[in-house]
Amino acid sequence: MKAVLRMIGVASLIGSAACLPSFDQPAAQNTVENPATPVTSPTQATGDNGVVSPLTPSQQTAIWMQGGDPTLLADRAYDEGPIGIASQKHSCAKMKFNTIGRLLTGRGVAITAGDSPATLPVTATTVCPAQSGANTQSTSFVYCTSQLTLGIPQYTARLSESTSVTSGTGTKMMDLYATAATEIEQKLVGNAFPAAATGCLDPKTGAQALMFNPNNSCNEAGVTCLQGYPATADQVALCSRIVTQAQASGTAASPISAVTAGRRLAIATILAGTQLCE
Amino acid sequence: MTALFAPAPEKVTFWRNQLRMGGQLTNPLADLATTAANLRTVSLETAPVLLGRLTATGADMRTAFTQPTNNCPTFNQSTGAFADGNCFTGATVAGSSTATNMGNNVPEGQQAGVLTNPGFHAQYYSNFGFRRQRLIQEVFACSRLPAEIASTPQIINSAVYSAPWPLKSITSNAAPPTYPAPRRVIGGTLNSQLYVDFNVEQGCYNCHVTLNHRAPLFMAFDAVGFMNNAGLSMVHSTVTGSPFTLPQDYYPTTETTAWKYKVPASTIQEFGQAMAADPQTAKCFMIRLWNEAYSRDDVVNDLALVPDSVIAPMTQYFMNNNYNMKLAIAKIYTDANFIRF
Repeated sequence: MKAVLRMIGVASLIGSAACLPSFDQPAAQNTVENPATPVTSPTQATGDNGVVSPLTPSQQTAIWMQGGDPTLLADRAYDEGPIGIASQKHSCAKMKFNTIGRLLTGRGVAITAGDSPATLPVTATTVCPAQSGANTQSTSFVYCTSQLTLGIPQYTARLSESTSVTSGTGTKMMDLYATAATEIEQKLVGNAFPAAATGCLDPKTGAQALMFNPNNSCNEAGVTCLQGYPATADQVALCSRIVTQAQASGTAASPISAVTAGRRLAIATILAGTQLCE
Repeated sequence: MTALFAPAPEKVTFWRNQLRMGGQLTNPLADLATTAANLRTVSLETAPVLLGRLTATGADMRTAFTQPTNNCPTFNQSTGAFADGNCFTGATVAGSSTATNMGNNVPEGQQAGVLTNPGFHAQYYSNFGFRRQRLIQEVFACSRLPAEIASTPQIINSAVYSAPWPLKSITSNAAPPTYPAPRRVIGGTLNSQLYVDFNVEQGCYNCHVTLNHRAPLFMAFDAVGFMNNAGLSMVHSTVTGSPFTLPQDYYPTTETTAWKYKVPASTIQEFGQAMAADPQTAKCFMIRLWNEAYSRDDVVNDLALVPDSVIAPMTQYFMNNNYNMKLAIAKIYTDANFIRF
């Protein structure tokens, strides 16, 4: 997210220098131009730096009251651009732990299967489902047992839920969406989301959204449902391309065809690409 | 983007994260010895539920600091329904058991919204009770300490003193206290004249002139948020022996408690009314709402600032509509700037 913000900040600064001169504001600084004209004012040449002096106590106070520690503000302005502009732009926080659960539930995933109590929200006192075998686990297992990594708030430590996607959180969210993709693909009914997927009603048809067409290309309604906003033709085409370019996998005892692997990979890619905020 | 627009559960979650409270907490009761038999449990849900309910029902948010009764409601996460609840459970120290929810021991009618919430006082229990004041300042006024800045700061030797309060208005070597002997400690008494020197030249004054005029109002709440109704302090000084505080630990006997300089508050209810009347708290509600809507970080902890030029119209709308946060949510989420992404 910081990389994105940095890009936005750089773009804003470049834009302001190039074509929007009134767009930018001076960033916080730890020196200010000397308001008093020197008694023997030197003649300044064009391009010379302005006369600066250390901050007076009243100037320090003014800067603090305007927004806090000036060095932190300067660092933030460097990353995000002027505060008057940055504060009016949408950021992209980590999806809340409870929201992840509701999102997957709305896409037909049994997110609390095996948990006790079997209702959202999953909390620190929830009894998670037992591990089944040594390999792939259920989505509910991954979601419930990964609650700390996924960022469940630690109120006992007087901390609110993190708004940042750390490396660990991002990796675990990808694990979760990859696991959920298999379950979503397996539960499709005639390539459409099942009735349990309450977030996937296609408003155009009034029926459950179709994830894949009969030829296994992606359907716009299904992609829209997974990502939560209207899918573009390019996104649908990219989804279809993933389906067609996958390879068969699995074991001899339980093989996974290339098409099935592609369908699962497409669903996982859409979820991770649109819900991870990176 | 959080779906704060509609469901009540999201509003409770919002306030859980703002207050950093949820679940429950077990701490020692009153000034009793720290043994297992004296541990009690307090809910950390009632404060966020109270604020979530005020938000969800479109109530006047100023009542978060002034509501005299029904300040510990409960919330059914499955149905999204709120239910009335009192913070005054009638429990007493002598007759309580480990199974008892102690409540706040503040009679209904004498409470002040979240300011007398037992969970809030338990979660932010600390030496001198300063952590509570830091949270009140940061969560409801949206600025870190120092909270008050004079128009003209003073230079005291090598230090900058920037608060409006006069010098010697809090306890320091320049205004030393005297103590009756003996002083209360857990399990006994202590003869000591030690005090904490909130020294102006070391920079303590800038924050502590505000903190020290606020904290004594709440010092009777113990580590589970149960108030001593004789006014005895349940928070400790940090001097050797950790005696329970007295008013002179905070300020000279000539001083009184206050929300800000020249805004005195002799009771918690008056303190709440002063907070409710302060435009800074109205602006703070809007800043926190704004940052939530735009998926931004915390205004204090993460310096996700919202300048006055941006938040002023929302604050004015909020105040013009009887401090109705539900309406403000609808306005932010349907604002032209919000949907332009």
